[in-house]
Amino acid sequence: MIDRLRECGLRDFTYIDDETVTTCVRPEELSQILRCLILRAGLHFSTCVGVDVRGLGEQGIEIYYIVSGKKLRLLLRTSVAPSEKIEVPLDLPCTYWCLHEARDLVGLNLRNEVYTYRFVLPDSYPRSVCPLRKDYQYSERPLTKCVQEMPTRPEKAITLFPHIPYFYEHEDFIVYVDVDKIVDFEYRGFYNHRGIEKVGETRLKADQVPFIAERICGICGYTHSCAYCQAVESALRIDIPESARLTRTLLLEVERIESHLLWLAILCYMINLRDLFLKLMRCREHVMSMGEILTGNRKMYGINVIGGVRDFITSERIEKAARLFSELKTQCTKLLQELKSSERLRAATRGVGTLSREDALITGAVGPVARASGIDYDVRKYLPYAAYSQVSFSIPVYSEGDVYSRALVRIDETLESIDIIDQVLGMSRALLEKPHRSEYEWLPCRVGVGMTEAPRGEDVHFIITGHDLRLYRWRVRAPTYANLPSLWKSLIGEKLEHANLIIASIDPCLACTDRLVVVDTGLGKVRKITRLVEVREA
Amino acid sequence: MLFHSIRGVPAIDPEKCMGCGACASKCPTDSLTLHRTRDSILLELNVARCIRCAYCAEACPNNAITIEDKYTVIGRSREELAIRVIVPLARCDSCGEPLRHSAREVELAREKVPDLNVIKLCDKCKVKRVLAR
Amino acid sequence: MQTQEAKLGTVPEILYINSGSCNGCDIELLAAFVELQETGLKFNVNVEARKPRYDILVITGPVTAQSFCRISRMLREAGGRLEVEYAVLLGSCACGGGIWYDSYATLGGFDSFLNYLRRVEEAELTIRKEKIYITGCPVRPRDVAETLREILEKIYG
Ligand code: SF4
Ligand code: SF4
Repeated sequence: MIDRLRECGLRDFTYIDDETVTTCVRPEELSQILRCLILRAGLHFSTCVGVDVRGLGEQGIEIYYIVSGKKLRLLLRTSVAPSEKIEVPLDLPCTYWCLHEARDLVGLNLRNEVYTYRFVLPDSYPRSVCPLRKDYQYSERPLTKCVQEMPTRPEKAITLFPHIPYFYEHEDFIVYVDVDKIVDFEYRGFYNHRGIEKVGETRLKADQVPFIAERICGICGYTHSCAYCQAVESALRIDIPESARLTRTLLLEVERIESHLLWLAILCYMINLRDLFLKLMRCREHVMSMGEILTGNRKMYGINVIGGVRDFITSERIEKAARLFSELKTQCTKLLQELKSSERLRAATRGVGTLSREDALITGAVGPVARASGIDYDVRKYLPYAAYSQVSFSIPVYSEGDVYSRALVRIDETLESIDIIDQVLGMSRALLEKPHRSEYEWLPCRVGVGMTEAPRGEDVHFIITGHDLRLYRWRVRAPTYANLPSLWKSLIGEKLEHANLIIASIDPCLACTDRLVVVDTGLGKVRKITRLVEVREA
Repeated sequence: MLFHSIRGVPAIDPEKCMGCGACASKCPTDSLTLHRTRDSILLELNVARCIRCAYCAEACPNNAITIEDKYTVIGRSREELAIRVIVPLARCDSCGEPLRHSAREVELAREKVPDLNVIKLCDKCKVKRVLAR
Repeated sequence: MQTQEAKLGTVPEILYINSGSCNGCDIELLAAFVELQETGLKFNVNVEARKPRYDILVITGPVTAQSFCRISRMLREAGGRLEVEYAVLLGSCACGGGIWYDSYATLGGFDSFLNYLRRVEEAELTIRKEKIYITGCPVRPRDVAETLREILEKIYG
């Protein structure tokens, strides 16, 4: 693998941990190197992180590009002088968002802006406000009267309201159509930007951050707290106990089932399978109860700490959960088989919203979206974490790239998760072994990356440690953030009536994406299409 | 065991709380806050903001915080959703002025280390005593 | 005999706003709605204000700066003032700002949102009867359904 990196012109690697290497590159070479890594070496572009390094005794901004492959995670570090401008590689849409986010939040200068309007923050915040710069006070609210925030609002427009009023999250999708064919598409989101990264870097201490990380998303929160803890564990080289690894695996899979069932239920609702919708939701309630039995809360498990897990797991709880699980298993499997063989599902989703393998690669799609387009990227296999190297499971991959394959990937994955939980519950002796957490010593100026495979795809947390149990920089890249750009490829050219279904098919979770600015539309799944504007050409 | 069946709101035992503020410094949402008045320490729990993480119960050195099975608290005003515990401060043996530590902290220190001669004097009286010697 | 609905003239209207929550409360609210429907009480759910008066306002999330813009735009489009009979605040975010109560990108919960609304925008949101805080992170569907049922019963008389 390292040879392939050399071919792309990279040298002088330093190892952060066994799987993470870092190297420095000059800003002008970057676009070329990224192109080579993604298009030729077949690596996956995870994200980039802008860091205001003035607090570390340096000048200007540093950008870390995170690129991942099998058993390898590459951190490319570039220093940007205060007046220097960075070029956005236009042929790699996967880089657009993170670079514009760095522009809004850290004050990076871009030579060629793709989005000229404020991307993450409200339009009413002055351009000079860059909240993630170190001289910005985290609780300052430069709120003024709001200006029109949509980038455009065409004359001949009608607004279509949310598909399902109960699932609701802010997000604007503007779709331009020619008769009924979608010709262009604009997106305005980040309504959920809550400034999480800044709070984690200032008010909170590193040991409290898992709680806020968990609240990034109300559907897949646990995976965020795991990714954060892994990032710190990799930065400080903490080895976590076996029982903590198993506990995390168990809960991550419980969460995956819960999330996929919700998505599948909403899909059923959208294609008019109301009966299955109710059944899946009811089944999901049992999964929620499992979380409650194990950790005391239906959601927001609150069990992760740096170095392991808190002492919640007792033998009675495991036994009770196992009893519930054995009932749930058969019921759930039956429902999923029923859905898989449903004619309605096939008829409504086959051939809709196709995303080709190449498009998935350059837009940086992850998770079920990528796996439905023939990319077998799954962090659990590529860069195993928690106890995933100890359990056996397979990764379902389909190659058609349509909504139907995305549904099949999620159905198969849920079945795999059931199997993983079975295996972990079978190791209850190891699960209960004490201690559940390792002690650690806090060291400043360490860099760490934590990645997990969230239900929606790869979730990346990047940290730089600061002094006194504080973080210098914390960056979260939620899976929906990586998946939304793929909509430009899968939506254009489709029929308007399918727009809802296609948008829902990436399982957009705006809460995560907007952390600071979150873009979750609603319920995890059905993101509400707040405004679907239709323009008809005369 | 931190909680029984569900992780509900924390309950602070006023008989056990010694006003040390360990919980307040751990609370990720700043729902628990410590205020000092002239002769007591006021510990306030803002149930409206509490996220039921039980980190405070884990931090308390005297097990004064227990996690109840009651999870949802419904109120009609913010005032209704605040729980207050008042911990009196220890007083100077000589002049009766309140000291920095709470009475319970001093008691506890005496119990834990019986041979230690805990001096309950305020700064002024300490200086006076030294000068008198 | 008049039916309950005819007496009221209409079915109670719920206005539901997600002001940038993490979705935890929203999904629990969905579960609560499903539970409520089994009681046979009728209600409508709206996500965008189209008229000046609603019976119940349900709000989740700490009100982020971005959604503040959005909500005030919505209020302006609805005529600058909105009246609700009951406001139900869901979760520690809406009740007290939650874990991000003092961040630059949130307004710290519903109460301080009302202050900002008065100060920054010329829009107004009046709560005529009661404001109910349902705490928890996330809220439990059972308790939300209970509270909403009580309110609906009061409205139906
Ligand atoms: S449970 Fe958590 S949020 Fe609530 S008071 Fe304790 S530490 Fe604070
Ligand atoms: S109260 Fe908790 S669950 Fe509800 S929106 Fe806020 S963080 Fe999410």
